[in-house]
Amino acid sequence: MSNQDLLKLRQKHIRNFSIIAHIDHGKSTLADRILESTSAVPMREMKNQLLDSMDLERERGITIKLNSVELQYKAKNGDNYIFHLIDTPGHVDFTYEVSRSLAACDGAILVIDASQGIEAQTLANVYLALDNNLEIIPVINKIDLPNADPVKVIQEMEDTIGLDGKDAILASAKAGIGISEILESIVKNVPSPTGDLDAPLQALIFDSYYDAYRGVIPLIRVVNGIIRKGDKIKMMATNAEYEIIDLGVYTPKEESREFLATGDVGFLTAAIKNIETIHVGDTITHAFEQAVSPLPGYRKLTPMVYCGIYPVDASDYSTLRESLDKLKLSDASLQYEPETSSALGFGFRVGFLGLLHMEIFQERLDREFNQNVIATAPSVNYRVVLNDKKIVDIDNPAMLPDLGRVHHIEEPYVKATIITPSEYVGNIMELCQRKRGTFKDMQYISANRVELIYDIPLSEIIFDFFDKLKSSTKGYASLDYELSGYKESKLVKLDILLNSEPVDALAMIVHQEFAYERGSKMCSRLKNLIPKQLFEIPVQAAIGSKVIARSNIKAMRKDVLAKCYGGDISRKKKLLEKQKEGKKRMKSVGSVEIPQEAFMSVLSLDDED
Amino acid sequence: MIKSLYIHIPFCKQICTYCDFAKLVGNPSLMLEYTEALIKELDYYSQDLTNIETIHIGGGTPSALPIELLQKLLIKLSHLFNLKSLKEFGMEANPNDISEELVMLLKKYHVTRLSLGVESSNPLHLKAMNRSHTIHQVEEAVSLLHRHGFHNINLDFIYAWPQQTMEELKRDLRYALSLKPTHLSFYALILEPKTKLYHDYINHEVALIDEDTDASMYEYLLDELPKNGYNHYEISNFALKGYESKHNLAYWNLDEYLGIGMGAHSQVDTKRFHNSTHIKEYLLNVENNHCGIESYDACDLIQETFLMGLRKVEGVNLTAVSNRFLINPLMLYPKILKNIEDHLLVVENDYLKLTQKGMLLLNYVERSFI
Repeated sequence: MSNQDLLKLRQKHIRNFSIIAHIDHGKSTLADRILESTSAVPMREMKNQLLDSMDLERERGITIKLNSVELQYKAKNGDNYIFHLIDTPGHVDFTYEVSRSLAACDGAILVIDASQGIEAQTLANVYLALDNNLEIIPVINKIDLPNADPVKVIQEMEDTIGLDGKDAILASAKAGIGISEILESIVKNVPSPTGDLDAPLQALIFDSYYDAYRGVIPLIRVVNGIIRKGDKIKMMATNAEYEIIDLGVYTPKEESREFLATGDVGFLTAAIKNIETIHVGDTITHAFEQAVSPLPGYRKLTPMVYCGIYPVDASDYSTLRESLDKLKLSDASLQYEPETSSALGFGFRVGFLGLLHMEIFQERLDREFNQNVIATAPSVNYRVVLNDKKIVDIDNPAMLPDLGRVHHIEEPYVKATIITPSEYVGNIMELCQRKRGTFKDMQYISANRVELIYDIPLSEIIFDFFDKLKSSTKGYASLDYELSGYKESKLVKLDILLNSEPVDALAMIVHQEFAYERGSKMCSRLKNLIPKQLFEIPVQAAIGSKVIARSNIKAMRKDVLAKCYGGDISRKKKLLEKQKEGKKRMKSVGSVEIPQEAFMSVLSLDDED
Repeated sequence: MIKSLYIHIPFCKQICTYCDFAKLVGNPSLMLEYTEALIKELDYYSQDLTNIETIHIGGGTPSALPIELLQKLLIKLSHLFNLKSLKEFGMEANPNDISEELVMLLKKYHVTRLSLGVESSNPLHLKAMNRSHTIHQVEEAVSLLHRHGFHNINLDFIYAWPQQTMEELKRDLRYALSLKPTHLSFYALILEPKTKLYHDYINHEVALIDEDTDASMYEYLLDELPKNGYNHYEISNFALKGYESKHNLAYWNLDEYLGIGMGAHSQVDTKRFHNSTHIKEYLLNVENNHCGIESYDACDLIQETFLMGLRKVEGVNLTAVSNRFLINPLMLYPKILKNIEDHLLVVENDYLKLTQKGMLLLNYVERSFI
């Protein structure tokens, strides 16, 4: 056989798949088990949740980043197979990441918790997999739990997703049950990659990250052709050309290879220092023998929520920009542009897919780039229609034009899908009503589980809807949502004044009906969050020139350590240094020092105080 | 030149709920072993102790030491120093430990100053503090001391105790004055981790008093004590003229001092170090002549001159600082000026000192020096 024939035979033995699941249904544990059974990782190197490589991921027990590993599997038919397992995030904020990884796959293992059943993200993920024409292998996981009810879950699956219950594999990733059935099913049911080895190179960049020594490292799926060490390559969207220094796969350890052929999933390095030239979703081809057209890329994202990010120390502005550029590499959904605030100075308006995304972004800025930033309260994008019918997009409440010029304001709505045990339907309806939702539909997916569809303003969903949903259903309800359009609303801008000065970074746009309530809660919240200072600080909430709520931050009266003798001085200095360190997280606005939490307090305004 | 010597007696008969000092409930053989270690440590340092002017025996509870062990220690001190010529020789005691025998012993060895932990005149608060004495015992102790011509007495009080009211503080103050001490320390409660009180606080069994009441109590003390002849000379300390604690002033003046005993701190030659806070380790170290080996911190003398000096009501002499360190303090710490503008600091006769408002906000002021 020629080399080319060998490679084609090899291609027939490749299986590219990912695992999709609602959060906490056991996706990462199953991935660990698969890694273990294919001996990709010697037992002694196993640490829990191997594919979650960021500390942040392990700490929070969630997957954020995509990861791909190459595994060798000897099937019962005696043949050796190459598996590429691409991990996907489970949280609704990262649906986009899931869709990216699915585009690099030919099949998906759908994990459903045998005690929880179908959840909102189970559905969302299944639809994504179907959009990508993936073969789905249903796995009912955690069957060893006492409250597991696989029969009922399989029924739900047949009724709501339309998958054949006979195909479902009963498993417990934790106890190691059903793993070999899953591996055999991958061989049998996931098709081998269909690309043409003889065609010009087309490799999809489905993720990338930045390495301080080697530059940008794109993760690729070779769709057609073959790519070798030393090849001259071209990025089809940016026309940048590079020479490949190294390429290979993760097993999950990085392993260099001479080539990646059609169907392979791996990484490459090419001393790419210019971050701008690498776009996730772009196609890599050869510089000399170019593909005619790029692969279909990814749909462009619309961020759901925006906030201002400002360096605490103004001189860090340019390093903050560099950090954002680098973060963008591995977080293609991140969007940002410069903005200025009279309170906070120069910073960026950053768009996110949701609040978790925003939180993770901030933690990564802090941990990976050591950036000390202030984040303002998040806002959705409002569509403001001016009297002259001109339309302005406003994602920063402070920028809302003078109401005299405004004809009306529209806000984004989402179609929210909630799946819940039926006894909580009443609670959920009440919650949705309170959040200005409109009832759309209700379906029983089994005797005691219900799917509810509501149209709800995105701003209400984003703030604390999810927490509220969890608390009013004892954690049993799940939520998924997608943007459904813009609708006119009676919205006003609520200004917050500290020491009689409006602080633009604290302004918010709220529904008229909620203005008084939120204004007074904001005042009392700020009173508790802003540390006492030498003088009394009035806190006011105002609509236009009308003050609707107020409170006072009393002046600091006593802060002195009663005792300080011989041994106390070192301790005392440490205490003072710690207090000083705490101040670094504060931003001086005029004469008032405002801690980070104050900017975020708007998020929890509906909590009981 | 070391002019002050501190000796730590870590033993207590019972542990106060607020105390985080190096202390333990001792047994006779351990106390003997400890006293011998102190003596060995004194020998170890004897060459450095030729210029001692003040000695302070603190704790723990020095009076918890059996009288014959205390005597043993005093005899050793009398061999090392001319006790009679010391500028101050102080000791701490619990009021209920004051006996005729103890007073005679202290007089014999020229102890000049006795500091009694009175803490409160309210039996309920005393109980909550887990103090072992009664008010009656305080009165007896003071009158016994007075009968023996022992007049230089300090009384320690704690204020801002959970649930304490302004009225109770006034009662404490009247009570304190009625005992006619030469010196009064009023310490606002410091909630220290690793104390019973802290534990109760975390578990919401105890609430601290609010900042406003705490501030008003302090202001009341600052008003009332000087009216009664007690000169305010340090954040928490008040004395009749000439009775300021010389030993404590050594700390606030950053003079060199040596501390011996478990957990005792020293500052010698711009270095700060301390003994182990674990009794076994301390005893073993002394046994092996490894004294004062924990945490060798260099002092930032300029900074600490302000951090400690501002605790004194007279403040810090700016010319002296300039001459000693060849710097302009206002250039080195530009925030001093902001504090002066905010009426927290003031310069008077070349001394930088706290205003009354600054006295209440010393931590805030001190951050300007960090």
